Amino acid sequence: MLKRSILLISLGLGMNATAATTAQSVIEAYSNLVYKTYSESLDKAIVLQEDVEFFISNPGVMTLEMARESWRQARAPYGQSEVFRFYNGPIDSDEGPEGLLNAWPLDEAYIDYVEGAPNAGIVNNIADYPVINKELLSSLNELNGEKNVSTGYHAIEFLLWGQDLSIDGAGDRPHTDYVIGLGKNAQRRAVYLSTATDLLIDHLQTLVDAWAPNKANYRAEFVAKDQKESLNNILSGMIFMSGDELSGERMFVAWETQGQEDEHSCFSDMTHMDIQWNFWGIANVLKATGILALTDNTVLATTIDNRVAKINKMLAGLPVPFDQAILDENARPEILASIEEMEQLAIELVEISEELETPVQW
Amino acid sequence: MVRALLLTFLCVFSLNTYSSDKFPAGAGTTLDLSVNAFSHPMSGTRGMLRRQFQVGNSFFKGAWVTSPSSTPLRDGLGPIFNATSCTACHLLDGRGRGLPDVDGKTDISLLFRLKKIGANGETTPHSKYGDQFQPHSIEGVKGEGEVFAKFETIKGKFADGQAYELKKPNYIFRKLAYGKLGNNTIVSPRVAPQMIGLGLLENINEEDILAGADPEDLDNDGISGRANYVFSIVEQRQTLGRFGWKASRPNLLEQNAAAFNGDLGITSSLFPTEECSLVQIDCLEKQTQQDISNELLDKVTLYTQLISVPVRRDFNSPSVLNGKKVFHQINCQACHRPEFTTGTNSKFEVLNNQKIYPYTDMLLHDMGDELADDTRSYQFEAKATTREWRTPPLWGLGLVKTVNGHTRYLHDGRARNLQEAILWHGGEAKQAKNNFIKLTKKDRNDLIKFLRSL
Repeated sequence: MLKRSILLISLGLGMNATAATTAQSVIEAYSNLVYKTYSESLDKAIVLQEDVEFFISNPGVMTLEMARESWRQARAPYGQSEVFRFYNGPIDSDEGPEGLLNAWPLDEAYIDYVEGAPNAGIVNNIADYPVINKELLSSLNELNGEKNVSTGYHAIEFLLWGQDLSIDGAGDRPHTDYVIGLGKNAQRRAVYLSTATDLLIDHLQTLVDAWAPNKANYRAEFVAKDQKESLNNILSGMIFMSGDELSGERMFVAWETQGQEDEHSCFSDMTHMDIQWNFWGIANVLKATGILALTDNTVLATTIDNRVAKINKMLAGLPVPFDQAILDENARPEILASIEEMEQLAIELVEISEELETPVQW
Repeated sequence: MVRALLLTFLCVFSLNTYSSDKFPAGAGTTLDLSVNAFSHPMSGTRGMLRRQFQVGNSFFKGAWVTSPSSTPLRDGLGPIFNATSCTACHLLDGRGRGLPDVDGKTDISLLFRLKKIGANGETTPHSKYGDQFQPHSIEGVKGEGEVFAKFETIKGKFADGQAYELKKPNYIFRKLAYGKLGNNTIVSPRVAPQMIGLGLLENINEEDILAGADPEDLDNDGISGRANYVFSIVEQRQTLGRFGWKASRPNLLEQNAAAFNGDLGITSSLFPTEECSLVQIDCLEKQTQQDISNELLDKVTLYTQLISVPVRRDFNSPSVLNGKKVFHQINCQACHRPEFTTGTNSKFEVLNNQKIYPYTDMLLHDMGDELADDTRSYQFEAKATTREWRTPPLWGLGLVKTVNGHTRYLHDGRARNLQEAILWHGGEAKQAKNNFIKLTKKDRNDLIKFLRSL
């Protein structure tokens, strides 16, 4: 974690040190950041895959914990990539893998047993799904929401942690679920987990390819098209992440409903970090691109910098786990205050977009 | 730059600025023309209201799950259903595709209402399949089956000799889990329409809609226009129907609750019973109690009320202006009424007293044999018959391609583009359609350009 923070800071300094920030330099730096973030997500997913394979061939308390830790590590760069959404880029275009990678909440009973339904899910349905493979899992996920979520980070999370039935901890799936002879359909569960992890890697690879430098790909179009449009995309990602997706959908919805299910990573209780990673994504873009330097409005730029620092601090200070914080009368005002700060940040970024003559409608 | 100027323009001028047909939703019109063009709250929505919109959006987008689950707020899917989320059919708050390109399975966004005709011509829900055909189901319950479309080609010619072809879908029900549909079953296909501007339509004063009704065609112009009157569960009385393909729901709350119930199997205080027929034993055994709370249903409703309408594009080009003139010349506006001014009763200021340009009269019209559910006339939904459809609003039509990647129109998506949509018009709209056929090619194209600018 520490290593990455240092890396991003040094990247930011590098950009700031450049004499003149131009629209084109912002766009190039942004493309580098996207590529770097997806590449790191892929690298971490490959480590996760190794640890998952090790766990399912040697199911035990320690090997399960190792796989869980790798999942947590893999979420960190991906969470920071979500600011690259909301403008129909490779991640969430019609054919984009967003729904296959990160859909939530998911219907866990669609995947495996849950409390009260010991035979539920694809894992236990041998009659309809004799063979679990990539084709099956993707086909069950991709029909425009027709069927339920069967792939992605949260499917893997559920297979590693199980349902979160405890008040103050994460899910507590026993490693014996994967021990042949002990766990019902243990072999099929292992195949499912392994296959879902393979798919994660495939999908991340398509994103890395789309943003790789010097290829005939989306990135090539992105850096070549009208600069205002690319700047608009970059700003849209930050504005919608800050003003709607993170502050609204991922935080306010949970704050309002006080529902454990409305936290992003509900099985692993890692939502507090999801929130921070998502916000770091916004800070990364500002820092790496130097986009604020494109305006003469230094007052506004400074206000935004200060607000980003303030929000980072507020989010780091929120009580853990998030699903308990939303119930805690002392924590709730703090959560709401951070939501309001993020909305204000969105408003200020809209002002930047207006100054750059490419207004984002928000 | 154009957008920047437009924005400056918006800021400087007063409210009156918005009462032009460039801004179909008045002051709340959104400037975004991207793939998200149908997904924005009314422009300028901020603070708590925007957050409530997000909460509603979350329950509109999110997949509903099988009970029991550890996600009780989104639990209660099915037992039988069409989709697991609203978004599945209203993708990006947009319009469903409905039909495949060639003979094949229908799209998830196309559902079928069912009715059985009795001996005296009365219509009742189908005894085995209920009011609606639900192809999907939770584990342990059988989905009702599959629907295929087989196309028949209809050929025609414009007055200038240019030929055209329409593709008429015939529906085939397969893998029926509970036996044949049987004779005297009427099936009515319905595609998911785009979600934009619904709160504004809800806030049009009833008397302004009724002023356009002419059920007996007393003015003798060949166009009648009937109000549907439906039983409102909330008000416990007969009231004007506004929403749905046959105007069978009086307000968005009831429309949404009905869709949750019929399409997702989500019960609520308004619709407490799952759509399981008496022969669907597994379905009956897996029924769940009230799945969505009134509070959440209200938030989804707030969401549907506040979705904005995109600003018009290219509204001043000579061909679009000519197309607009042609639109009126051939009498399209007789049903696709260009403008209304909304009432003052909404709790959301941005919906009140707005001059809007939806291009609908909100009334029922006989659309002819080709579009009818049955060529005879039976009551199908409240007062609406098998031959009648509510005039759908035209705003946003030109952006369906951007948002949803297709240009399928009409109630089942049979029209492959706007020209075909016009050519399918019959019944009361037959004269307008014939006028269209007689137009010069330039006028036809300009009319389409005008529709695309909406």
